[in-house]
Amino acid sequence: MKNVVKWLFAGWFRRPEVGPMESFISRLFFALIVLYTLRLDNDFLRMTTEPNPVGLLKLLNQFGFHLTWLANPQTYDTWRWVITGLLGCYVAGCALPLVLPVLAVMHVLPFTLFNSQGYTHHGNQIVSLMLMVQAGCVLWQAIREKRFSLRPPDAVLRGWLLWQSVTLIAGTYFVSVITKLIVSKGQWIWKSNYFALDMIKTERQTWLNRVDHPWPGIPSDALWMLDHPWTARLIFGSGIIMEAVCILAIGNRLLGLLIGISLIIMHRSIDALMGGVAFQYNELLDFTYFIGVPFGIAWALEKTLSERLRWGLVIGALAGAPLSYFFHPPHPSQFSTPPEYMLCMVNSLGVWASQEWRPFFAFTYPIMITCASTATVGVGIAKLIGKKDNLSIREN
Amino acid sequence: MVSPQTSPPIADPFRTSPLRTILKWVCSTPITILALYCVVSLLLEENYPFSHYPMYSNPGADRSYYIVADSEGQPIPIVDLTGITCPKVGKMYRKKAVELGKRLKLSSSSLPPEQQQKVGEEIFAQLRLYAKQLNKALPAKLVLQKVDVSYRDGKVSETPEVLAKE
Repeated sequence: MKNVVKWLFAGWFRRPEVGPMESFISRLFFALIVLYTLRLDNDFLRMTTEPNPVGLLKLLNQFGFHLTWLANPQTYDTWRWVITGLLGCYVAGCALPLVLPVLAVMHVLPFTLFNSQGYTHHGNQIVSLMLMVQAGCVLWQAIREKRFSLRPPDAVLRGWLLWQSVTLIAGTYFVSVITKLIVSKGQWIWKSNYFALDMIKTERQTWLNRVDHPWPGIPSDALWMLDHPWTARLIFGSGIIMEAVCILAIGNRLLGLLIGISLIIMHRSIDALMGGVAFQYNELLDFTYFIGVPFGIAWALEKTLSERLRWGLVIGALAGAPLSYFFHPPHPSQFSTPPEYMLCMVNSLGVWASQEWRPFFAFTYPIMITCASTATVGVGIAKLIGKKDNLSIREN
Repeated sequence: MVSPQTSPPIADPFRTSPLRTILKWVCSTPITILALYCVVSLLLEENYPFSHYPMYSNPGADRSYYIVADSEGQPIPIVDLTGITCPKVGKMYRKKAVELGKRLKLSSSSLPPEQQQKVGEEIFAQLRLYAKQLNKALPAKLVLQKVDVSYRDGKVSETPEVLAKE
C-alpha cells in the first residue's frame, strides 16, 4: 500500500527525463495547436468594439489604450505571420527566453479582445496559459543560471517544460473541480442528474442558431436520464472525479497515459451528449502532454533507428509538408497560395472536433504520401552523411 | 575540557531544520505552480487568460436559454444574420445583467423590467452592429425572450418570458 501511494505521488518530486527528440516533437505539436487557435479571422475582424473588457484590457482601457486595432484585416494577418515565424523558432528551440514571452503576449492580446465582447469563450485560455508557463520556465532558468541561452533547451529545461506543461493542464481541470464544489455548495454530484436539462437546452440552442429544420422535441437520452437520476449521477459524477485525479498525472507517464485517455473519452462523451460541446484544445493538449504521443513517437524511433537516421527521418518528413503543395490536386476554394495551403494543413486539426474524417483524408493523403517519401529521402541522406563521416574518420 | 579553538561550530538551525527541506521542495516542485495557479484563477475569475471555468458548475432543476425573435415572436436564424450563436446571446445578457445588478445592488435575476429592457437594448445594438459587418439585414423590430426549462414531478416544462423588445 505504502509503495502504491509513493508511486502515485512520485512524479511530484522527480523531474521527468525528456530526450531532445521528444522535446522537439512536443514543441512541433504545441506550435500547430497555437497556430490552429488563430484560424478565426472572421470572428476577430468583427471585434471593432470592446463592450465588456476583461483581463489586461481593463488595465489598458484605464490608460486610454485599446485592442480593437487587432481587428484590422492587415494587422491581424501580419500578427499571425509574426506568430508563425516565432513558432518556427520555438519548434527549432532557438532563443526560447526571447521567443516564448513574446509569443505568450502575442497570443494573450487577441484573445483578450475576443473575450471582451461579452460572451466568454473557455477554450483559448489553456493555450495562452501554456505559453505563459513555458515562458516562465525558460526565464526562470535564465535567471537562476544567470545565462541567456539561444541554443535548444538542455536536459533540465526539457524536463521542466514537460513537467510544468502537464501541471498547467491538470491545473485547469482542477480549478474547474474547485469551482464546481464552491458554486454548487458541495452538491455537484448529487445534482448532476439535472445535466439532462442542459442537453435539452443545447438542443434548443442548436435549433435557434439557424432555424433550418423542424422544432426538435425533447431528446430521448435526456428524458431517460431525468427518469434514472442515479445512473445519470454515476455517468456525470465520474467526470468530476476524472478532473480531480488528473493532478496525479504530473510527472507520472503511465498515469498521464491512463488519465489522458480517460479525459479524451470524457470530452468525447460530453460532446456526444451535449451536441457539439467540444473542448478541442484541451483534447489536443491531452494528446500531446498527458497521453504523450511525442514520447511514443520518440520512443519508437529510438528503438528502431540510430540518432542520425532519426533526425534524418523527422527533418525529411517535415520538409515534405510544404513540398506536398506541388503534388496536391488543386482546391481553389480552399487555398490558392502556398501559405494558404499551409494554413489549411494546420486547420485540418479541426477534424478531431468535427469527426469528419472522409474530407480530412481526402485532403491529407497527398501530404502523407509526400512526407513519407521525403522522410525516406531524409533517412537516405543521413545514411550517406554517416558513411562519409565514417570514411573521413578512418582516413584520419 | 574542550578548548575554544577545537569546539565545533554552532549548527545553523535553518540549514538543519525540516523547514529547509520543505522550502527546498516547495521551490522545486510543480505543485507550487499548481497551487498558485488555482488561487490566482479563483480570485481573478473571468479575466483572460485566467478563468475559474464556471460552466456546468451548478446543475439544477431549472435551466434557461434565450431567443432573439422578430416582432411576431418568430425566432430569427441568429448565426446566419449576425455570426453570433444563441448561447453567446445568453452569455451577453447574463454578463450585462450581472454587471448592472452589481451597480444597482440587485441579483441579476431580480432586475426590474425597465432594467431588463436596458440590457436588451444594448444587446440589440451589438447584434445590429455584427449584422451590418456581415452585410445582413435584421428585422426592423427585435424581441429578446428567455425560456426557463424545468423538471418538476417527472415532467419537463418550458416557460417563455419577454425580456426586452424594440
